[in-house]
Amino acid sequence: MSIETINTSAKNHPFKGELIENEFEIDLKRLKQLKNNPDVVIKIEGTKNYYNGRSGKGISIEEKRLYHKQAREILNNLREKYNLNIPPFSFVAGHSEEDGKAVFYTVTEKIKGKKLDDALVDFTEKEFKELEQLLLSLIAYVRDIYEKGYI
Amino acid sequence: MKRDIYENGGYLCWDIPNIRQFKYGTRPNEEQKKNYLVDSEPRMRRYDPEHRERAVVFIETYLDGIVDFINKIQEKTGQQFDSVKKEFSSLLDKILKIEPEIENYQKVKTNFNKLQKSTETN
Repeated sequence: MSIETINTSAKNHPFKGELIENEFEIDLKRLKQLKNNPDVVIKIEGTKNYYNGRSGKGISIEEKRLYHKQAREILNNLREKYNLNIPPFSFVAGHSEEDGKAVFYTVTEKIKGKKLDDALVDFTEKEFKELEQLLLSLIAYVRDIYEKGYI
Repeated sequence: MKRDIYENGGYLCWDIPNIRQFKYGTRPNEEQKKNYLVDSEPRMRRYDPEHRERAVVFIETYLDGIVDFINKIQEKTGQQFDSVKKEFSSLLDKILKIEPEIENYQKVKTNFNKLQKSTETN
């Protein structure tokens, strides 16, 4: 997905419009939304490395860009091979509003609905079938990873 | 089952089997509700041939996540999902056949057995 951005060299977030506190159910300070676009969720990523098991160590923005490229490929595979529903997302490099440090922003669509945990108490038989399929897909994914080491 | 995972290394989105990562709803401009993975920051971990124990922990975390996922659904709705448990059990048995010595996988089996037992009790 694409979203309008402005000069990313400024010591500010790179989006057109005001970033406001999230109105989501998840209490996460790094989750924001754009005042002028309620259909979009923006997550501010830190500069720590969450990707390759060296959690807590710093990571350059270039390294992170590479990980994001791999993430896109893997998540596309999860969509295509395992039929997982994952909203489209994009990554935007910019600076933190708080301290001006280089950060990545993940931009994704807002899913309107309930947390699955809360929604499933009202599920119909058809919806339980879909949930069952989701679990089978999750098992198929780890089976393939175990067998092949990749998907 | 060929066990290339430790030879080739790779990535695993280790935390997706988690009920809290999903929302049941619609995308903008769509009407059909679906189960969406909504954590927009992909949490992948790379495992590599030199750190076999790292791959083991990631896979254990993932498998445990599935057990917990099934358990939460079962507790809230009473849904048994026998086909899911059968598939999971089959995978776990295969893994334990290949690597019976790995305690991490034995622990997953113990947790899964507890889940199965609670199903029988209910």
